[in-house]
Amino acid sequence: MASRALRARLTGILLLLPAGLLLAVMVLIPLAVLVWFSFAPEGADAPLSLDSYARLFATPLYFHLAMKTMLTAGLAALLTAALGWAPAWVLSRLAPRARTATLLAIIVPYLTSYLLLIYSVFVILGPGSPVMVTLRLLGLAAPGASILYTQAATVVMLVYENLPVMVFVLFSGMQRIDATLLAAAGSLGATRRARLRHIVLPMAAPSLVSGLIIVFVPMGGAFVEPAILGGPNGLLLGNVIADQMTRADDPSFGSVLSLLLLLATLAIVALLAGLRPALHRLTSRWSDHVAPA
Amino acid sequence: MMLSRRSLLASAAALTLPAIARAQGAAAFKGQTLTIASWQNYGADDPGTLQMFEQQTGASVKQVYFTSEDDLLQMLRTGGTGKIDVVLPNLEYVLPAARQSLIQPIDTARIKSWSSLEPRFRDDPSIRYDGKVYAVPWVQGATSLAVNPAQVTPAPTSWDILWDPASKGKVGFFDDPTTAVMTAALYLGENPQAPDLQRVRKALLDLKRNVKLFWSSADDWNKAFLTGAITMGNLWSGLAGTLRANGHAVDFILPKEGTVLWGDTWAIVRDAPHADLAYAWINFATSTPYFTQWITHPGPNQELAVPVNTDAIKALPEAAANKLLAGPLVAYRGPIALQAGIAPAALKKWTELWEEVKAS
Repeated sequence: MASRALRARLTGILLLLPAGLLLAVMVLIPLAVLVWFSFAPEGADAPLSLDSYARLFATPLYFHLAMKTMLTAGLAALLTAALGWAPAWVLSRLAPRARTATLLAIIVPYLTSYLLLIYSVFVILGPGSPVMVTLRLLGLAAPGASILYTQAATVVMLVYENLPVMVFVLFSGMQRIDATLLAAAGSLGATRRARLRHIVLPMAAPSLVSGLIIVFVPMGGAFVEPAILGGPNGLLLGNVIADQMTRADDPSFGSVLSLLLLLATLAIVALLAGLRPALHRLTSRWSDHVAPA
Repeated sequence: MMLSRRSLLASAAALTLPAIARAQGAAAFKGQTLTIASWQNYGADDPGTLQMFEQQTGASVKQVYFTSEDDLLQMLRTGGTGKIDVVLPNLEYVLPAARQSLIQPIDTARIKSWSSLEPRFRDDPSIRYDGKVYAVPWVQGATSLAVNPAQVTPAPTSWDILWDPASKGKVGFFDDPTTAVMTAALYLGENPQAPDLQRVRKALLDLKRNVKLFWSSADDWNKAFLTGAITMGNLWSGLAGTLRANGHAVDFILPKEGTVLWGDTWAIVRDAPHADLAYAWINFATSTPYFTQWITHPGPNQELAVPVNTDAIKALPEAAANKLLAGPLVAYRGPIALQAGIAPAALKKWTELWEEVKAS
């Protein structure tokens, strides 16, 4: 008996080994190198020092930038969820064949190189482009104006890029909501709004949170989009890190900033993950109210 | 008789002499392979000129590419010396390379074009270390004021225009610490090699209010400039010339306060296996026939630049010279901020300053 338990445990360890090794090699070791670099401003051969950290704390600049980066990514993630909700719902209610076709249509931009996407957005948002001309005709933009080279252009790009991911994640949650459940609720007098609150929201909440986390993390580390579209005041923490690693040739300070980005991102992700039980509580409270009816 | 026998003989001799010289040259380096480290599509790998060199010397050429100046130094530090013969460092990197003895001193008596090189490069301290010359200036360019003449009138003569409140949202500025600090120093009337960094920081922060885009590639600039998103900024002379040659309206101005100038140079690597052949290459690559062929019939995707050899510039056809904006650059006698000779510690401060301006 004992040997069977032992064998089961051994099998478990063996099965975990490849993934564990991969994690160690691809995550833990680079992370350790990052930490080491952050203490080695004079290069690998020189004694360790706190100089790079001193530089970080000498000015509020980089903390402001980290804050701005998190706010930008957070706003973009929320917008992505808001825009992705309806298509994901429609998708989850479609007949299987139509669903496959629609999924394919959604996946196409996701399979396109993001540089191509950025340059297409460049054309779409440029001065004199259809979008800006329409806005001008509506009196919403000055002639020759464009949101290119502003923070707004970066947000538009991040949303556009990540929308397919959000739709997929929301769809996978919503797909599990049984149509008969909604029909039953309807036959018992639940309004559309009540069905949304008591059935759809609680059941889709976990995928909503997952979707937010999945799109937020890359958005927080974005640097190509702000570099091309964001203009002089649109730079994010990722741009400064990229500059430190390449042109400024200061991997130590770059590592310090990377760790700052990592901590800030982890904090937001923890917050989002904490949202899940809160969402659950909120929706179950709604359910309590309705129960007697 | 139209031709005397003597003149016939003389001309026959004149015709055969170069052939003999060529034959001797070809014999001298036959079977040798010259290893060149350079940027891709930047002169050293131009097919037309390479063919000329191989015919003249009988040697063959092997190309090694670097993707940044730091990459070049790193390449030499990690096993490049003793293998690579000749390299193309930017003026800014000659001193660091010489200091680390990655390159060897050059006997300028063996460089045929030496006396024709523009004095502002030939006599500059940044190619000298310990009293010896370490590099031969090859090509040059300016990063100067460029404006759209349809939108910016009258044509400005000063860097002031970039700081003018009326220029808000119209400026494209090159995303490079050395260029940024030097340009601000010229605008402020400071010494561009050692400016007061507090004043420079303030000037760059002021400038940033007008900037629409910090550009870092020709593509960045073109997209913004040709769509009218920006109407002025600082720009590479080569790119301004290309835009003009392609029919776009752009005024390239060398402002009264001065302009930022850069240069690329040829240097011979320490322990180069084929040092004599390396001299032959430098002599070839700085010669008039080389520049004429390279600039008038460049291979695909070749990026061109203005020769430092004044004879070569004079020999260029007008259209080619105009495309490079060679004329104004060579004729310019105003103040110059040469991108060279900044001590590593100062450069680090400049880079930090520029990063902070961008992040602010």
